[in-house]
Amino acid sequence: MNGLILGGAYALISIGMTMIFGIMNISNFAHGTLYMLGGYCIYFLSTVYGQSFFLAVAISMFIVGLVGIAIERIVFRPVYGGPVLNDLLIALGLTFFLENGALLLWGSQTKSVKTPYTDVILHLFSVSVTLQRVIVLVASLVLIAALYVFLNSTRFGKAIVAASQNPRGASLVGIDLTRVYMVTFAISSGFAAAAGALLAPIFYVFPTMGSTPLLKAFVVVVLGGMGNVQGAVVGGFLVGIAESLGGAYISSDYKNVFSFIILISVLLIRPQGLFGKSQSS
Amino acid sequence: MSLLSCQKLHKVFGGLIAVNQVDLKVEKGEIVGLIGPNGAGKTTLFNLITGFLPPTSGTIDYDGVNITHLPPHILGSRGLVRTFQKVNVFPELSVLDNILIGRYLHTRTGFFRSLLQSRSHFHEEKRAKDKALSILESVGLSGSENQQAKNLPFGLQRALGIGAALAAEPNLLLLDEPASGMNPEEKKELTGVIRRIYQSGITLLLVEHDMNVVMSLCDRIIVLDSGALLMEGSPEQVQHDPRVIEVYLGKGYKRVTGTH
Amino acid sequence: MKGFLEKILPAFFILFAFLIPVLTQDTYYQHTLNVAFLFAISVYGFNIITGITGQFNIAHAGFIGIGAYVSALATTKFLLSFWIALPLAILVTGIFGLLIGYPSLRLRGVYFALTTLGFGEILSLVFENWIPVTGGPMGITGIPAPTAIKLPGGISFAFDSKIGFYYLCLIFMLLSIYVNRQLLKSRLGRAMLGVRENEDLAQSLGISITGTKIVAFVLATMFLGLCGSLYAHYFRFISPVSFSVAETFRHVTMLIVGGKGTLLGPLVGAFIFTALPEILRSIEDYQWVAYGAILMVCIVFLPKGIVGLIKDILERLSNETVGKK
Repeated sequence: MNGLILGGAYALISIGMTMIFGIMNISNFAHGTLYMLGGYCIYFLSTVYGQSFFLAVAISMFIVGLVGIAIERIVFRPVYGGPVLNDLLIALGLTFFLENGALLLWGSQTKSVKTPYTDVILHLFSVSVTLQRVIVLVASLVLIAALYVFLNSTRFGKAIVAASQNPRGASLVGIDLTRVYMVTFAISSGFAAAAGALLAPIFYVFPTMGSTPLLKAFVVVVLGGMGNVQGAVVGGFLVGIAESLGGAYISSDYKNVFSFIILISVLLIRPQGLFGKSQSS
Repeated sequence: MSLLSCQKLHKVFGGLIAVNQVDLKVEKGEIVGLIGPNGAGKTTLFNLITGFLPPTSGTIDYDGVNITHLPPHILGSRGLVRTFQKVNVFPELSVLDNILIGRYLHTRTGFFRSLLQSRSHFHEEKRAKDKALSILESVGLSGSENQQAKNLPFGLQRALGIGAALAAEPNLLLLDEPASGMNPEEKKELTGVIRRIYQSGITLLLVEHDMNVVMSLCDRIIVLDSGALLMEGSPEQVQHDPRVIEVYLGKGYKRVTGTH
Repeated sequence: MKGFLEKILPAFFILFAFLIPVLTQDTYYQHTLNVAFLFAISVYGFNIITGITGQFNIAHAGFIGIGAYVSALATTKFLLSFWIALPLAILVTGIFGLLIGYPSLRLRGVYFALTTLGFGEILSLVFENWIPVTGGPMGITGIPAPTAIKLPGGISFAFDSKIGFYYLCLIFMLLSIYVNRQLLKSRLGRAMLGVRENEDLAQSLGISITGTKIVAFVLATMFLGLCGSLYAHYFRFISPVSFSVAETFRHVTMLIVGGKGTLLGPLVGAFIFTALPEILRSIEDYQWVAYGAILMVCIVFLPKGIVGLIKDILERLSNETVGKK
């Protein structure tokens, strides 16, 4: 059960990352910081200002989405088309900057976010689980579904899909790549923030909370195929379940190792992941 | 025995047949041109021959040896070298370094000797540098040794790429659209360079869109359309062939009564 | 004139470096220099694989950890001399480099980086959790200083003081610079640069890109083993936190800011990031934020790092004075 819940969250985080990779060919190493910002947003909105949880999640998504747009413009735009190394490194710099900025601004103490749902326990299918966790799963599914509808049914959504498959072709037919990039980043950041906000009541809020999810997101993205959204969703759930089972049955300390073993195995055996196209030379 | 011989070379991408059962021969000492409209499969065929794409089926023989699935660096070591249409140089390095990298196959000093600064290291470095400078002269880049490759004007970058390929002492040099993006002045220079290469005994196969360049340089021309061999022959034959004319729909090429 | 200057200046600096412990007895400065040199060795290793060959090894700090743990265990558990532990650490780390590099370097660009990320995290987890061997989060303590070298004639070199260690670090650091220098002048180094700049072109010229990357990787990891061993025997205590993926990022920053692919860049970068925080202790809280900002700014505006910038300036100046175009 936990696997599914984790899976939903992993899927949310990874969708954004895979979209950015697919469309802009950038691996956003700073993605974890967006998750972290989502967590802090909800902390402030819900605990400090007492907003209702769902509203707070929505607002967090919005705020971080804007931050994402700013990041795209200020940080990533200067390094488009350069050596791959530069994207990685600049994202790294951004991560240092944001994580330690958060540390300075808000302190290193772990903050907890309380919602009315963390204390309600449900009993489903012979498993007991807090309502909060169920909400995470449900919300993830809702958001994923919404994205799906957006990408397939709306004009702009289809433009994004087109741009991810063939950027030059897309710009030739008049699709404004700049706007596509902006929106992609906004969605990506918003989703990461959603994951951060939804999980905050369960996993607490602290400046480096984004680093492990970042790594898991990479695992999921590679597993699902870089650039492939369905891959990210499927991969997210697979990794979440694998981790839960591995942690429960094999070893709890080395729980994280499973994700990394998956990562390395996929990269070495089938780098394009489950759904991706193969690396052409 | 032909220097290069492809039998029933075939490449499928998903559902698309990019190269369709192509037979192709290049004899030693020839200059062969490979032409065809956009999408004819020239680039794919080129990549198959030079080891950058594995064929779906078919074989490639070079100098009597089957090279079908060999990687590019092994082909390079056997004298089969190609140039690239897009980035043809090592951008951040100097012009001289670009050529020196081309000398990789013909220098032997291991890293240990370099570490110990042995005499053989110095001698070989000097020989390599002299050779590099003479190659630079032959492609028209004398005096630019210390410039960064990425700062060269486009036509000279192409020349540099060809120079690096020459440094590897190829037997068969494959040029990938060497004239693309050049102005008429540069194309004239290029034609001269290619002619000199040919006269030095290197066999050449070039893919090219510019008909003037192709017609004036090549002994024999192979025409590709939709992945399959359309016809091949001398420049005259190709220019007059109705099938070729139809396939290009008279897309702006001048008849060149060229001999060389 | 320029050639003469090129030979005289380094000799002067090296001489100066050897005399520093004579000029100042201040152990604080000594310590700072030692740490700077240790980091420099690491960054020179990083330079080989990332600066020159263009492949980003995120497991960088993990490899330093391998060297450190091997050396520490060899001297504490197996009671070997430092002088055996050191080459052992280099060898073992190099072997790990080969084992990890061989399958991973077939992958290009990001995929390779992510693979090393996976390995780096696994190394961290092993360091933290394999308590019987690595001591877990508590690490290994009581690592001895290198034993003194006694030469016939009564001269002995002791390394248990900061000054003693200084010379050890200095010598190895100079060695690192020398290797980097010779690499850049050699056929192998040119092949590595070719791989960095244009893999396809390098291949067509007969360079095996995977083979070249593997050589670079193993060479780099051997330097990391060296750094790890020295680190362990200087600080006399090691723990997993020094070898985490986050530490890799710190070293990367040094490389980038100093100037990747250059000869002096790693040294400059190492100095800036060790000497400066020591001196600017008061703003320690802000240092990581500053690192982040500096890294971002450098990549956009100073891709060749400080050393690259200085080189460009000098070249432009010399072009003007000589009256070239």
